[in-house]
Amino acid sequence: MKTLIWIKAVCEFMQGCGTALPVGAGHLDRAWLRGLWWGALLGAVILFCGQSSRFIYIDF
Amino acid sequence: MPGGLPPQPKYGLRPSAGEHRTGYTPQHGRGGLLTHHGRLTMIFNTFSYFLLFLVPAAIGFRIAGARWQPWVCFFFGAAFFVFFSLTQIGGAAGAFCLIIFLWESAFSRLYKPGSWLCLAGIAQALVFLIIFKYWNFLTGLVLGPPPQNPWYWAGAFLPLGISFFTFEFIHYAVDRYRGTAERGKLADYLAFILFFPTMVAGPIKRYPDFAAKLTQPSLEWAQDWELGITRILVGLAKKFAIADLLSAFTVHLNMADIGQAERWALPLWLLAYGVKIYVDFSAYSDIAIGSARLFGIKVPENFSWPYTRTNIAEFWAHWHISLTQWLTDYVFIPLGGSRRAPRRVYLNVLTTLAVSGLWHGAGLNFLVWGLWHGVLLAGHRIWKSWCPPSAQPSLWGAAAGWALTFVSVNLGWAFFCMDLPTALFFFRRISGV
Repeated sequence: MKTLIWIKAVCEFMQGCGTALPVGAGHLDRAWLRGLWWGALLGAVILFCGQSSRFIYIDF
Repeated sequence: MPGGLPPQPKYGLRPSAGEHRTGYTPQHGRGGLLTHHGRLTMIFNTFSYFLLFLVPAAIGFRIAGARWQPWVCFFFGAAFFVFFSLTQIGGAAGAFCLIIFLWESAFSRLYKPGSWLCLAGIAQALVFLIIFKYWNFLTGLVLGPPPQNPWYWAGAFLPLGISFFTFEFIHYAVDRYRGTAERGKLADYLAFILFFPTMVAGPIKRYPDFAAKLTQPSLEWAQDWELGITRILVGLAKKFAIADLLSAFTVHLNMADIGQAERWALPLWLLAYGVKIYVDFSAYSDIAIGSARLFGIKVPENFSWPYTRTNIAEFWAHWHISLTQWLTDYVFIPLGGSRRAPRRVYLNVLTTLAVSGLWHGAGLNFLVWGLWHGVLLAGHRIWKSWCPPSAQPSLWGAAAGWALTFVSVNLGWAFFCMDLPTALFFFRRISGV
């Protein structure tokens, strides 16, 4: 269970939800890693865009 | 970023099925990918949003003095509404609806604690919502489908964000009536109503919370922009790389394809929809929350790992959180909440979830979806009343609870993404009846 909570905290940090990393993951808080992560996300966006549909909730 | 829709692969269809497809492409029971005016509706995943609105508004907000910051929100919010109404939703008539929301905003300034004007404001907001969202549904229930229904509104359109405007107008009216919200400054209130990152689909804000953040926004530019950009990129990646890809499966949730499908494919298609709606809406919320963060304003979270929850009450506490809290405060509690006899409480739960269902769409399938969740929540309350108050579930109990919750929620999506006859046909096919 502790491992799951640790993974959840890391995921939330990577998602931009939080500023604090859990104990043992401090090494992930580096500017170059953040840049790499942004690059990966941007790559995914560029790779998959162009097939987009609307957001489901946009006209609720 | 927006592009055409490529042909979808036919996962789970029998080889000949593609030839018999109707071309109907339901996404969530509202009539497919196109709006009433035949245009794709995209906002957060367009360059216009980022280049014309988000970046200039966030920078303008940061460099404007405190006195002018709410007006920056108002100006860009009004421009955002007009631009996306004209280009994507409703056209000129849709853009004209800004007058309605400005009128409602001006009317809200008259509210005083205990005043009948607050009740009139609530009624007014509901009337506008009913006209634009439920007119054809309600007249259709009484008079029948269009040929027999003289009151049918052929040019019906949904003004941008009307449902979410309504939530915030009602919240302010009720809280002013109760005396729990201050009147605040005109500029702050207009900024609250027209704050464009949350205008179209939330998260649903509360005025006292927003006004406090508006008057004292975070001054940590670097951290806010770092977190905001991360959140926006994560949202876009989730939308494009996961949610849109799952359309290859969910596009088949229609009568023709269900009739032609292999039985094993049906639960996979529904599961794909369950994943898609979560990823899609949480991606939308990520972009909204990240966008607000660029202004230095933290808006409420909307999701917190809902599919990991071990009972239906926990699921709803972590799924579309701002809506659940709104429904609790402005529907469930006024009905009497949980401080009534058990049967009345179950009725309150059912009524609240029925309202939730009908809010999601003007259709009987949405009502059934809401009632399904109402029954699940009432069942969970009954189950809890049988358990000792201090009882903690074992690991196996929690696993069983998670599985039951996950399956129940995903079965419910059938009524959300298909009209009622199609959903019932889906269950008939899946059960082999």
